[in-house]
Amino acid sequence: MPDVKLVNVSKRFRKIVAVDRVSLSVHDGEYLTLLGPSGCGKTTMLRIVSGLANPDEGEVYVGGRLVNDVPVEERGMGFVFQLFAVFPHMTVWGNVAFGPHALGWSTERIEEECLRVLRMVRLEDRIDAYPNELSFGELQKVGLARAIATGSKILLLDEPMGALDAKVRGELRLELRKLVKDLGLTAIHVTHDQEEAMVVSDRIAVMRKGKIVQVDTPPRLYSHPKNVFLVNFIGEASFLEGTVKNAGGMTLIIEIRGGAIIRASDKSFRIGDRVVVALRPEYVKINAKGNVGLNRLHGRVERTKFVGWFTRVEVRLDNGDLIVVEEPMSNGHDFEVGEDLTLTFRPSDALIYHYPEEGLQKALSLE
Amino acid sequence: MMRFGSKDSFRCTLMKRLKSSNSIIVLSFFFLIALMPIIYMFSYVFFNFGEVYRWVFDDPISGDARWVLMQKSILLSFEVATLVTIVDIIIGLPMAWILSRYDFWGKKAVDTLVDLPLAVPTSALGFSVFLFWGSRSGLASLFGIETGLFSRGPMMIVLAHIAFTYPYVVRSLTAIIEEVNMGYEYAARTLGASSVTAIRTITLPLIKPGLITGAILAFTRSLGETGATILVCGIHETAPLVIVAWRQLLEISPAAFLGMTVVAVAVFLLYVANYLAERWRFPLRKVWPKAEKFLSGKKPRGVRDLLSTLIFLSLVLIPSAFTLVYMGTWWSGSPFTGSQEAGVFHQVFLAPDRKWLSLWMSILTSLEISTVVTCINLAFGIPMALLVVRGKSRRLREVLEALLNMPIAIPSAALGFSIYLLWGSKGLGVLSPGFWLVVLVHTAATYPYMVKQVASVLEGLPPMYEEAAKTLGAKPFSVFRTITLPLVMPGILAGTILSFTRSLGETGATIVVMGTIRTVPVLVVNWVEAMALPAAAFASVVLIAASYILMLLFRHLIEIVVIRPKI
Repeated sequence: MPDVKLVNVSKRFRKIVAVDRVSLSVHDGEYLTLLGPSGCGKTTMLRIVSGLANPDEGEVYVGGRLVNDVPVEERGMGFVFQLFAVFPHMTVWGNVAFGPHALGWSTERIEEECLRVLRMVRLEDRIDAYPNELSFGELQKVGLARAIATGSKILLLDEPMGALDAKVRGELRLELRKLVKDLGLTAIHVTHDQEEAMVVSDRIAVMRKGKIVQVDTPPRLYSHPKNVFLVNFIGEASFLEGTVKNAGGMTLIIEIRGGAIIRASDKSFRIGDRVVVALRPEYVKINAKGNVGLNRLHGRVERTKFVGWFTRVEVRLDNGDLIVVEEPMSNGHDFEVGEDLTLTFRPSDALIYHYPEEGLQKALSLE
Repeated sequence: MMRFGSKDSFRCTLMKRLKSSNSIIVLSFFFLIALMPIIYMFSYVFFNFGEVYRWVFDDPISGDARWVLMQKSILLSFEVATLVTIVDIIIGLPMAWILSRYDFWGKKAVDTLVDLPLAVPTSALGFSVFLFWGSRSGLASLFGIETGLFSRGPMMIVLAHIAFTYPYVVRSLTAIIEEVNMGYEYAARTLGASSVTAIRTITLPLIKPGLITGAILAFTRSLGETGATILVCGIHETAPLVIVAWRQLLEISPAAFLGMTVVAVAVFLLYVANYLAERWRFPLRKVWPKAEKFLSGKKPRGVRDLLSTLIFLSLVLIPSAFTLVYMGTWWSGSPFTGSQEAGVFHQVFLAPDRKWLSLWMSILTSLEISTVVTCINLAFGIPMALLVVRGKSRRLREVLEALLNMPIAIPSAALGFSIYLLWGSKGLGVLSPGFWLVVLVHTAATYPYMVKQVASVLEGLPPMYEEAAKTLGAKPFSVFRTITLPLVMPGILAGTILSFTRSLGETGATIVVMGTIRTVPVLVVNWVEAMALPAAAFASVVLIAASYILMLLFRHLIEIVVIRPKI
């Protein structure tokens, strides 16, 4: 039962608190991603799980067993490094066979297992190549094959795609997920790339400043982020500040700065609360007609950017706030700078949060 | 416009001319000081082979006694160097490991102490080692033995050589261990290798270059050393010492023959070692999970740390610094008889032969020589380093690098002798033994150190800084002065300190060409041979102090002059 559980784990480096009383459970066979901006403590968490670092406080359990005092080499977890750490003085075969050798397996068993994992990553033709003859993508495949060759049931990946090109990254992450699922491994994957996290994970744990902010499945994380930081970090949004005017029944009436009134469907607010309204660019429409229930905001086009299948339009509202809209190409509308527009969105698409105590800018910042 | 243009192009061609003539000067300098004498020595033996044969193989009185002595001494030299290198690696590797991988209280102090033997000129060091192991005031006094623990001979040569070669091995190893990416070792650990297995199979092969550099340095230094050896060898002379002895007896032909043989063997061995080192791989196949896991445990590691500290203290540090203890106990008189006349103070300052005066004279001589040598090295070494690293022709760069290793690989006594042969009365007859011949010999022996130190820093310097300066409109020379020079300063500093201290401590080659002048290391040797041990102790302490103070002074001076360029 290779499930991993962290209880109240902390780690300090001199004065900096890298991991701050974090608890987390990773289920057997789950693919969990630790996502966060650089310096949030996610790599330190992974090193604590692997045994490369020891926590100052808290416990690490693997399969229900306390492993705090078990050294790295006896934890039997595969670890994939960002910069590969493929031994430069050994061939592909030497690298993959290193673990089995270190464990003292018999020669036949080493041959068989190594060939099996090398086939899995489709590197069986490059067995005698030295690391300096391989591409970055191939190097990371060697790193992966090496990590699973000893039959470990837990795979730890520290920014495994960090050093790869966008194209290679796209292919490798699908392959990676398939491999993990086929072998029934429990995987913990560290990354700062939210798109990568969305694609590979069963669940994502978002970290910020040494703490876990939210753990959820990718769709729920996107549709129900717990705070403004998450809205901004997972995907994109524009923010409006306002005050709750009426909170009866299913709808919430909010007066946003500048006097415009909008409606939203959220129940956990009271009259007089200061709030932040977050709008995802794809939920805001331009000049849509009809439908009395829609919220309307007026503004002027400030800038447009052609991205591909949609155009990104930045609209300056009458009150001075900026809203970003993504308008599909198929609508066939050319926007001119200075053009007057009406923006509409459904009350249920607006995400409402209490105004953060530390201020909006600080709450959004990555560090 | 036209006028400006033509002026500019004139300057351009002038610069180019200057540049190429500059490299010609630098190259011919190196040729003159180091290569030509060696070539001349070979040709001398070749053209005077009849005479050489009579002296070495067919002497009317002693027959082939010189040939026998030659063989014996060469064999001893190589045996000692091999043994010293092996011991150095065995005791130096754990120490290098501790210094580069662990943080502990007092680490900085240990780090400095490891380098201490480098700052002690070898004759002072050899004397110190002799006092520690071989005199009744040394280790023997702890056991109440009347004579020393060891007598002079091969055993004591090995002990002395370990003391001064140990820092070379530890330094080369710490440098590379710190550089090796810890990620590889971590990776090996996550794959189930215990820390000993990981170190043996992953880190050790990766630090092979440092291991080889250290081993070659230790081997060549041990092979060519004279100053310490002369004091501890007794009747068992190593090859460089036989050259020195024959030169003093004016037996030029056999000395030339021995010099040639030693040079040939040393150079041959250097290239064989380099060749083998590239092809040699650590055996990786076998793993002993149980044994290595045990060795990775806390206890064996504690034992390792304790042992390497004890060995460092007893084989390197205390023997190197023992002169101080000796001088303290013998300052006002003999600790055994109480006789004042046997004390350091009386011998140096009160005795009628006025030893303090000759000491003072030789301190001045030593400092003058070392300063001149270092200045020459700075002037010709930095351009040479540029040529070695940045030279246009790849071929030339490789040849230069190989040639630069030669003066390091061959014993300085042989090099000194060949220079004496070329410039002295047997050759061109330009210089007679004395101040300038000593300067020439010291320059030849220390020049490669300067070049190599500067070149190694220059190699690691990314071109972007100089490119940035060029895009900002700086002229080539001003790029060199304001960007390149300050950035390679660590290398220049290291080269300066190395060439200064090596020159200050050089003994064997100095004896070969010194004529009537005396440097401090030679004085120490003379006084030890005259059994004036307390006076010799005083002279070596003065030598150590001078070398230390000057090192600090140099560092300070160079920082003022170059590190912050005025623009």
